[in-house]
Parts: sequence; structure tokens; C-alpha cells
Amino acid sequence: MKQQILIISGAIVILILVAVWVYLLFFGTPKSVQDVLVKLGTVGEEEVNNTEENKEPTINTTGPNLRQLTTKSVAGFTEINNPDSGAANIPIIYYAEKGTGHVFSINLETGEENKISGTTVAETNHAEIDPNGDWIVFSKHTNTKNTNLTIGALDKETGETALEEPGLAVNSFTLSQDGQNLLYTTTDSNGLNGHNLNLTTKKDTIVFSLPFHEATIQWGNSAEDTHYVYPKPSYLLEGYLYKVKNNKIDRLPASGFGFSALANDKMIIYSTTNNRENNTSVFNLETLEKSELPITLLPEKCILGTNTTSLICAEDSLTTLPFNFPDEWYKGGMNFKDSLWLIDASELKTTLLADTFKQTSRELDIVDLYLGDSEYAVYFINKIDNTLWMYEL
Amino acid sequence: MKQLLIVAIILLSPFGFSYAQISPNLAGSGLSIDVESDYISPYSLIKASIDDYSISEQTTNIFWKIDGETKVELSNKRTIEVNTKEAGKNITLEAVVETVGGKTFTDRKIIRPVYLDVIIEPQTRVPAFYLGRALPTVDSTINLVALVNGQSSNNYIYNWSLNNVNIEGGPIRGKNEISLKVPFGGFNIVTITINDLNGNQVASRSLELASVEPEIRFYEVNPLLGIKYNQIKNSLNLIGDTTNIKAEPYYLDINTYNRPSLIEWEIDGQRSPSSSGNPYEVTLARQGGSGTSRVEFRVRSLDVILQGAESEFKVNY
Repeated sequence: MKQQILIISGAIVILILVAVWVYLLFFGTPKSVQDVLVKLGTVGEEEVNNTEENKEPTINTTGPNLRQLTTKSVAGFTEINNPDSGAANIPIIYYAEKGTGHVFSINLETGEENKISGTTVAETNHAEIDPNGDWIVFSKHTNTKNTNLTIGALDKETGETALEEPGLAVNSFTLSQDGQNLLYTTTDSNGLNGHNLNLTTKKDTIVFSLPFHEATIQWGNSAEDTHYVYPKPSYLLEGYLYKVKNNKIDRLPASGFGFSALANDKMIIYSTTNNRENNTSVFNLETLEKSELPITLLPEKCILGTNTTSLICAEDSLTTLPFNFPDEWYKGGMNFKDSLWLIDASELKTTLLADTFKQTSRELDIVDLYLGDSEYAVYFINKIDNTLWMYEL
Repeated sequence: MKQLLIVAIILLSPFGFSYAQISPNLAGSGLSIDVESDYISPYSLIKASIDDYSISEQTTNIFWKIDGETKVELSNKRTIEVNTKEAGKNITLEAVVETVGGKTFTDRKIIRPVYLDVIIEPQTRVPAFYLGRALPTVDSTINLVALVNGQSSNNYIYNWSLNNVNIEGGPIRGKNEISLKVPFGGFNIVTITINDLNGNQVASRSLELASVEPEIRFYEVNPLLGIKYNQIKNSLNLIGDTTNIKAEPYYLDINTYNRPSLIEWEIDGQRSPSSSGNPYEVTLARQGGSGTSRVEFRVRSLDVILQGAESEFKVNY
């Protein structure tokens, strides 16, 4: 009797093991090599459409003005008009995930997050999404100054991105405000060339040429718009601000060591580190007068509208700036604990909008400040972990 | 016809020298206006003072005119401050000195503000994610570009010198770009003088060329997300089993970066081969247990002694 039970138990165990083996053989491994490659995220391969991934609110829509929108690292984002929103005109955010290039939307009214595109663009480092949500341009991690672009047409119905690699090795790029053109720069032995590529017709034209190579560009809304250019900043080298329009270069009255700037038709706000002293100055282009701001700003941490003298800036008044600023910050050798400020540059007045550390207990080193057309909120990336945040205005 | 020519020359003579930043003193006057700066940019504050040393009589009154208008508030001031205007727009300064003997001396200066930008582009290595400009190091190459009011022109004659030694052997028309090797020594001066085709000086500037030493910074690299922009400072806590580390040399001459004579990683004093094929990257793997290891990296040219850098950090695991 005892032997029979032992044999039956042994047989059952063997049957279970065979069943597990058969299951693993047919269902538990990848179906094909292609399947494996897709999972690894080869460019151009498409993942499963996942647009209905999550219908539960994932973002707190009734919380404080300052809110974290993502836990994922974000490569780029934009604000999209929400046709379903009522009079409040609360927009939708599209963002691309760093590393994968997957595109997500966040409805700021409902708090819902959805995956718009599961098409993988491996090693995505930076992305620009057009304000209509039709086009997305990716750049990848690179060891050189130039990066190859991947241009994607977002199809919200299928949840896929049709990708194209036009073979453009670029320094800097953005999408025009109408979303139809890619503005980018390339270098040759003569200097830097600004291009305009129509994404539909693929017509590429040179918009401007500069006689130097290392430049920071504040792009205008379109190829025909004004662009502001200055040599990349360093505390030991002098920089100068140029206005470029219709391939005409005009020198503007702003310069200095460690020079970085932000400008529009009304004013220039610029930072310098002359004689190891950090200053932020405002040059009023209407009155032709220069004045000093009471706080030290890095214009790269500010957002300035096209026809205004008001800025929103991130600034950390508690951190002592090193002698080699901004170089040290660019190297990742220091972080800021920024707060958000509203600055009236014509009146030289500053108003604290949010003490971010007090409100979140998180250190936010704010970059990529962005104000959408709705002016519902200002959005930014935390440089420390690349997460996306918003401050509701 | 000859008379007309003479009249034309006389009428146009102020414009002959007005293209220079500061016009010369009026001939024959014992008075001169001295302007503090050699290079005068638009919208800048300049200091001008009178030099009446060669007037033998005692000065009683000083008057200043700016663009022909007498400035009462500047009366009897030997030094005045004047704001320049936009690029290319002249300012005429006139000083009038009266003496006890009733004599009047006058000098006039025409000041033409010009932007003379010298953009320095060192050909040293910085990482792709770095938003700043590379800096010069000893024996590295730098490119310089001179722009007058934002423009380069083939109608200007450029004369470049480094530490008072002419770089190109003499002035060259249209040569607004040069390359040079950064010499030893921390204090180097580059001077550029630009003349028009008539020989009139358009502008001149001297700039200090400060050089730095190459340096190494360490960063963690995620195969998918790429480089983590916050540098590893003194120590790194190893969270998982492995991590990839990249050594990023700043300001190393590009030739040394691409073809270093010596490049090596050391972990606890033992040479460690780079595992990724990129000699600037290393993979650190937990070997069991816990403790601290010292990671060192060095890169060097053996031909140019100052083209090299090394650094280290600790890994806690």
C-alpha cells in the first residue's frame, strides 16, 4: 500500500514537471529572434500598441500648484491644446521618455496618462515634439559634438511612430511653432549654418551662416523669425550676443565673460562672470538703457515671452556660485536647489512664485523651462533626475 | 578744377580720420583731449580728460562740448565721463580752455564706437553633453575669429600678434581668422589691429589668453539612458552588481584625446582593462562581500608633458 502511494506520487510529480516543461517550451520563451530584437529596442521596430494602457488618473490634478508629472526620465515635452477641455482650457502634455523614445500624454484636466506611441527609439537623449503633436524629432547619446537625428511622424490612431533617419548630423535643433519645419545647425570649415527643413516636402534651405562654430542658439518661432546666437559660455572666455534675421547678423549691446543671454525685441537679459563676480544685467532695447538685476540669474534657467519684459526664472539664492561658473554647473559638479521667481525686468522687481524645496522637500535643479500657449502652467525638467514638473500659474 | 579738388579734400578731411575709433589731436593746439581706452565699444562709458601741460599760462576756465552742444554741468572738469552711442555713430568731444592771458585753446576728438569681437575657439576636448566652450591648454590649438560689428570683411586688413610677435608675418587683407598654438606660461596676450584699405585704423584690441590644465571627471553611464550628468565626486555607492563608468577629460588637446600615449584604469592599484572597447569607459562589478575600492584613471601624451590628466574616486560596495 505504502509503495503504491509512493509510485502514484512520483508519477504525479513527473507529470507536473512534464507539463511545466511543455508549457515553457511553447509559451514561455520568445517566439522568434525578431521578437528578441524588438524587446531590445532596435530603431524602427515597433512595439505593441499600448494607447489604452491606463485609464486611472495618475497625476494629482487638484494638488498644489507645484506638481511632479513623471517619474520617468524625460527627453522632451510640449503642451498640446485639449479640444475636450471646457472654458478652463486645460491642456495636455506630450512627453518622450529618455532611453526608449516612447511617447506619453498626460491630460492635466483628468490626470490620465496614456502611451501615445510605443515605437522604440533606443538611446534617445533629447526629443522635440511639435505643439500639434504630429512630429517628434529624436537625438541619441553621442560621443561627438554632432548627433544624428531621427524624425518621427506620430500616428495617434495606431500608437506608432513612423521613423525616418535623414542622415543629419546636427549641433542644435528645434521644431518651428507651426510644427511643420525642423530648424537645425550644422558645422563646416567656415562655421555654423542654420537650416530649415520642411518636414512634409523635405526641402532644406540654409537660413543663416555664422563665422564661428561653438554657439548657443535661442531659436525663433520660425525660420523667418529672429534668432539670437552667442558663443558657448565659459568663465574664461568672452561671449557676445548676435541677432540673426534673414541671414543678416547684427551685434547687440551685450557681452562679457561667462556670457549667456535671453532676448526678445524689447530687452536682453544676460549674465556675466566678469572679474569673478556674477552679475545679471538687463538692456532695454527701447530706452537703450542698461541696469542690474538685484538677483543673479542664469538666463538658461528663464523663460521669456516674445513681447514682454516679464520672465519666469529658476534661481537658488542660497548656493554660492563658484569662481568657474557656469562651467562647473555644465560639468555636473554642482546642483542648485532652485525656486521659481517672476521677474519684471523693466521695473527690476522680483516676486517669489514657489519655494520648491519647502513645498516638495526635493532638490530641483530646474532646466528647460517652458510656457505653453495656454499659459496654464510653466513646465520644467529637474536636471538631477530628468523628471518633468509643472507649476500651475 | 584744381580748386574744386582742394575744396573737396578740405570738406571731406574730417571723414578721412573719422573711421578710426579716436581721431588725432588738432594740429598746432597746446591742448589735447586724452581718452582712457584704446578700444571703445558702443553703449559704453568712457573717460576723457584734458592735457594742458604744454600751455604756459594758467588755465582759468574749461568748457566741454559734446556733439556741438556746450555742457554746463561739465564746466571746469578736467575729466568727464561720456556714454558712447550705437555702433558706427560718432561722438564729437570738444574741450575749450581759457587762460589768464585771455587766450583760448581748443581740441576736438571724434570718437567712433565699434564692436570688435574676438571669438576664441580652443580645439580641446569637452564631452558632447557639455554646454560650455572648451578652454585652451598649453600646446593645444586655438582658433580665433575677429568680427567688426558682427561682420567679417574682405575690405579690412587684419594684423594679429601673440605676445608682441606678429603671427602671420604682417598684416593680411581679409584674414579675420587665425589658428595658433598656446605657448607655455600663464600670461599670453593676443593683439589684433584692423585697418581699412586706406590705412585708417578701424579698431584694435588686446586680449589675455588664459590657459588651464586638463582635468578628468567621472560619470556613470546607463546603456539605455546614457550618461548621468551629475558627476561622481569623491565616492560612488555601488547599488547594483555592476555599473559603467566613463572618464571624461576636459580641455585635453583633441590629438592627445584621440591618440593618447598612455591611457589606463587602475582599481586598487592594479591595472584594469577597459571592458567596452572604449578606453575611456570601465565596468565595475561587485566581487562579493563589501568594502571600498579606489578607482584611478590617467591619460597622457608623452610628447607634450602638460597634455595629460589623472583623477580617482572611491567605490563603496
